[in-house]
Amino acid sequence: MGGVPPSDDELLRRVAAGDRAGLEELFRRYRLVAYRVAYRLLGNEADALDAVQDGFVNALRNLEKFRGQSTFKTWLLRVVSNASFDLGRKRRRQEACSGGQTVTADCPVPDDLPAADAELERADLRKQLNEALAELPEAQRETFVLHADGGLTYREVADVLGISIGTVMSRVFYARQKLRALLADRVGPS
Amino acid sequence: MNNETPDPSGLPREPDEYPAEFWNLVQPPAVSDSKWAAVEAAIARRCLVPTTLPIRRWIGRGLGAMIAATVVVVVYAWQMTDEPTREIAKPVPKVNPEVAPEPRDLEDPLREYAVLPMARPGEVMIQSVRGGVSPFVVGPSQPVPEELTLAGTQDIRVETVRPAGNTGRMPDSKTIADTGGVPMIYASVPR
Repeated sequence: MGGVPPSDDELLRRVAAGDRAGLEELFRRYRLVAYRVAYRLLGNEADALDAVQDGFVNALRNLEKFRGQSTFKTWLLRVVSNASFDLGRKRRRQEACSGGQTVTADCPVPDDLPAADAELERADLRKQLNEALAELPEAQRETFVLHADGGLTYREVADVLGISIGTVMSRVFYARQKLRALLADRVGPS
Repeated sequence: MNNETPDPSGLPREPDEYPAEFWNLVQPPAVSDSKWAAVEAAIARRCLVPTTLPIRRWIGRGLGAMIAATVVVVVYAWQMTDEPTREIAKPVPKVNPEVAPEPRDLEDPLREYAVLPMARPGEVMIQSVRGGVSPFVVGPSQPVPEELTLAGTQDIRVETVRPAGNTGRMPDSKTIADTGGVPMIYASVPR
């Protein structure tokens, strides 16, 4: 079935009218990028999916706050980012996980059980990156993730976070420096 | 890793620090279709205006009305079946109040007698009293003075009375007079 895909605005109008198909298409369009951002901020799949759900719900319920100011994608990622931090703070307040550590990005719940060596290696890399990301200050991590995983430009990140583009660049620069140091044994110089 | 396009602001583009291969390796784990479907369903449940809500509301109201009607019918039926055993206050028959008969004219025992006014002390002059004979003169020493005072109930205390019957005579009575030495006269009143 060809044709031009509907615009975000068209889909949002359909969602506002209660169109389930419109919501499904909008969700398919942005669920992966929202999930990547949430996962990088939370470190595990279950919490990331919860954050995606809360982010979509809050974004759709507060559409009047973003209209005319940004795209739906930047608005959605901003809300997903907030939902992720809210969820992360809630998790930190909960009791320690089985290893005596707290369920946070510092102590991620294993996502899946790898079945092969390659998958084991991938899972290990992912775990190290999650731990390294958790070492970053919250604002630095959010800025970096929105740029690196959310695919937002510096300008979009600046608009989403309400900061200057210079601050965005500075945060991303220092985030990369710290990640490079934390992952030095896994990642060679570019 | 994001491949930054030239920024419209003219700021220098940040070079990628990590090779794409490494970044692809540490992508978040893939989410199964069933999990995506569950998330999407939850979002729809929380966001979409349920078009069936009015219908549900009407159904709810209809059920509520049916339940209310059933309750009314049951209560009414219970009242009807319970009717014979219940004590119902019977209406009080209206009774005309008994009207007292017209007052009868009481027979006046003295109607055949003329009503005579009592003489006052100044209108009677006692000329002589036989000492010790009349019980109606009390108090004085003999001979009595010219004027006598009519004794009152506070002056005479009757101790005993012996009816005279149909003899036409005055009843025989024993009285004690306490007149303080003042001569008094009293008369018995027929009853």
